[in-house]
Amino acid sequence: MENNINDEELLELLQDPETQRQGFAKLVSVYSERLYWQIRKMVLLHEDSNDILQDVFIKAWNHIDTFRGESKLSTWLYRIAINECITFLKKERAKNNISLDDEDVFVANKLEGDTYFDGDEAQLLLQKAIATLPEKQRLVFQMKYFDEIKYEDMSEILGTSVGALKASYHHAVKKIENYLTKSH
Amino acid sequence: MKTNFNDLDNIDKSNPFRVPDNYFAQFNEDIMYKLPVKNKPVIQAKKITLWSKARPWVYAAALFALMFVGIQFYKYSVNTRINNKHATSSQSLMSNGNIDKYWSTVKISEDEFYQYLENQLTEDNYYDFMYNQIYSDTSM
Repeated sequence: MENNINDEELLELLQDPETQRQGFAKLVSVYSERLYWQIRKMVLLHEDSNDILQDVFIKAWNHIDTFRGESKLSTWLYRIAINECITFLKKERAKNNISLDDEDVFVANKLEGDTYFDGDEAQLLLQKAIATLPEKQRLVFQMKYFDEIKYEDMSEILGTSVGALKASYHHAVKKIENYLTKSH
Repeated sequence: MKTNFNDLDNIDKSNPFRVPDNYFAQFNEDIMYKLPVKNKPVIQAKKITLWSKARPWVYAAALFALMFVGIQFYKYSVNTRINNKHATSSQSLMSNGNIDKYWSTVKISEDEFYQYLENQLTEDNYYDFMYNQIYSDTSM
């Protein structure tokens, strides 16, 4: 409810050229932390997440005049963030010549040296397991498992049917449990 | 208690990732300086030219001129139709053989008419004579 009210106030400010900058500053303060964590769970490292978050807001600023309010502001921003993450991950995989089979090793190397990762052995193993999933399935799993986002809301953000999301999550859980069993 | 790695539900779901201190407050401030400046749309003042001032009067004058020409054309076409109607009616009189009716409209006397015919005959004889003279000499 609060978000909806904020959305209406925000849209009013954003649609007026005189108050657009002020409205955008408010948009950033409302959504930056939420978007950051969505990005961080996908790309894992703080520096990469910070870069992507900046790109997301710059893209949003450049295209704010074309936002018609047909979807929620949060949905629109999440979609930009997800696209940026997927693009980043594909580029990273190509740059480092990594296949999905090797992704878990790549992730483990990343996280073990990261000062901003405080997880225990189990959490590290879980992150490695998640890294073996294709990007979209990884996203579905994280949104459901960690953020506990409803399938209906997820469907709006990802543009995928609820049924397909449920099936994707179910398969993701199976793959992760198999990985955990094999690894231990 | 040892973590059961086989069971997802037993793994700690708390966030294992950290951020630098004061990260979000600093980010929110820094990003505003990185946003590109948007140029306000320039509303160009409409130039008022001589043509734009004169245009309505020119259009009105053109309209009246067109109306005038149209009226004149209409009058001409009506007169032409009337004249054609009279000519047609004259021809039909002749073709119908209403010679007497025709003659009743002609304003010359009978003597003048016969004098006219005689003059025509004299001229024709003259031209025949001249024609024979010319071509009989050349044929020789």
